[in-house]
Amino acid sequence: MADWDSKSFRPSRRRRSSGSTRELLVKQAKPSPQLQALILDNGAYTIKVGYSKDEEPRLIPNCIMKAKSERKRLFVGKQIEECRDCSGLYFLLPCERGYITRWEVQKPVWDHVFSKNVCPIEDNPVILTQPLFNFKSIQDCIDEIFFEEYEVTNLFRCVPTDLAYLNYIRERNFNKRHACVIVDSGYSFTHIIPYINGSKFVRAIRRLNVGGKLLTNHLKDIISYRQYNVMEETYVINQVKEDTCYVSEDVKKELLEAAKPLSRNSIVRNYVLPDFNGIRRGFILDPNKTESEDSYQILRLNNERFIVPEILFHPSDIGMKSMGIAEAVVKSIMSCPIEQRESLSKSIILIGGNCKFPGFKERMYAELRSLLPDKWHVNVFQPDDAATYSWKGGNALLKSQDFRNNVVTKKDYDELGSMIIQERFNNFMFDYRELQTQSKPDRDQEKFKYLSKLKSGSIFGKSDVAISIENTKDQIKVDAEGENSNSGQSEKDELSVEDTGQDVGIVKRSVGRPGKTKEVVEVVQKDIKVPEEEEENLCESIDLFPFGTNSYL
Amino acid sequence: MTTEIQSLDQKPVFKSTKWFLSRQSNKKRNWKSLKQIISSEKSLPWNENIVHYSNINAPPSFKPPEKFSDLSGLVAPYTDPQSRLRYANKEEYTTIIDLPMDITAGYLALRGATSIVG
Repeated sequence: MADWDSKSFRPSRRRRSSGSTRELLVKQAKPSPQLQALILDNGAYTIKVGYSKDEEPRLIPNCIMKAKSERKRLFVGKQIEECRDCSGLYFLLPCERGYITRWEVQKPVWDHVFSKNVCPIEDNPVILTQPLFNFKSIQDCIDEIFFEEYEVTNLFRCVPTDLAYLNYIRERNFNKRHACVIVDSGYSFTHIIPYINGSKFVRAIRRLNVGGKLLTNHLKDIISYRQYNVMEETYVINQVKEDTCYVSEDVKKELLEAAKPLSRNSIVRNYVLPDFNGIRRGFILDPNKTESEDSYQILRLNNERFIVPEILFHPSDIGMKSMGIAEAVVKSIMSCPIEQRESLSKSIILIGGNCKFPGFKERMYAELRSLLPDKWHVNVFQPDDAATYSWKGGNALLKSQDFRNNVVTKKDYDELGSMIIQERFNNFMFDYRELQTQSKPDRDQEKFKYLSKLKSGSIFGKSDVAISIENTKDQIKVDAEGENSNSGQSEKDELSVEDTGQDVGIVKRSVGRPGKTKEVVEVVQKDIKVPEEEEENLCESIDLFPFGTNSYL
Repeated sequence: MTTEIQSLDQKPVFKSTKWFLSRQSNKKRNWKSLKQIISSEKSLPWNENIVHYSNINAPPSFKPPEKFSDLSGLVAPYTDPQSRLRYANKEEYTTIIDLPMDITAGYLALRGATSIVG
């Protein structure tokens, strides 16, 4: 990495200085074989880490574990493989609902990840993922740790779905403006993010607070009520969930099937729990083999297998006041600009480890198909490597010009301060402009404006207001009464007719006298037929003139 | 001697040469919990057009929730008015009426039906 030049990341500065360096820029834009980075997808459950040249990332649990068998030792990340007895594992998790809050846990895990035998940073630039709308205090802390403790030369933070989007358009050779919806269902939550013109459409982003953690905990709860007390066996039950649960296409029908006696029941499975003696990981007992060894501890799973993932589609089943994942996708699509909705429904991408349930994609398709208009094409795409799909997009990001423009060097961090560099990270693929085009003033507001304009012209409550309605088209007759007629030396009045294209014009006339000026406001109505008669004819408006206009004349 | 003074002059005055970053700070910092972070974010004066963490929650569903038996998970057409547990058939009912209070409360908490009104 000796030829790595941190300056080459910021060609935009050079562009400003002179135009002659453009050839140089094009040269730099080409992916050079040396360009390498450390990509760290910091999931709340597993960290996906690896160099950009690697085919597959390493999966490292993002937690510190305590085992009952070895009380003195803490197992950080992958070290859990060295633990003999994983029963009653106690987890220390760095994230609360997906956001890093326990730094005293996160730091040792990162230390483990960047240690010599896993993935040392060495001068590589780091691409790090963070949850959407990460809080300022957390971002400050991440920057501080990476620049000051690990002393990285270049850092880039982004949302994992950005990487997934880049991976998707690279895989399919789509252009950068391709519209799609990314459903990222992870450990802590599920995000639905539409991408329009290559950036997130902020208005339509939705979040469901249902993730893998909630499902595991629910399975743990119902097993504890129905069979064994497994409240302390999160690790094992998570494996049970991964091995046995699936998403059913028709819940009612499968429930009837599940109610059948064991002999005719196709859903029930006997799961052999691990005893950490001979069996390290549990497995499903083959239903065809009836005889089993006596030493096996069997967990019988029936309707739990599909009722638990069903929470994703109906969170109201466990009392959560939230709509299901499919409904939320439809809601999100319908919040997008009307001309984009159809193309969004054509590419819906499911990523994240929580999408790995068998039948998930089929169920999503079936629900979306029934909720979206039948003229639209609905395409649901789920990559085989749903959990690591985002990580693989890191490579695509590295080759893009956006990365060079937005990466933050250590020097930038020292000089610019956190606000500026965080803006750079957070504005990446983030379109605020869409918000402004959406908010148009409606007709009611315009009407109100017109009214206030009239009021400011002091029509009501002033004695010197004279209103005259002229029936002749071309002649404007000025009705000047009272003081105006009394004044002996009134100057030539200058009339300024504010004709704004409407048939009511406000005529302001200043009556000049030495030492005293007066404003006479007249509302002149022309007798021109215009199509928008009802709206413009203010003299007939009941709101303005409750007793008719005659009293003012 | 003169060159030294010149080089010193070029440095910005606000940067102390003696200052250094202490890497190892033994001071135990108290981190805010997520609840504190969210509540402090909520109290900020947000423009109503701005999208942030607290307003991207998926809204409630229009569909009524399905009713499943608390004991077995099967479709439950019946509800025990006393304990408010749902059950699928008479065998389940016979077990429900014998359940102690703490177990029924646990079952209700499991499906989030702990509120008195609901």
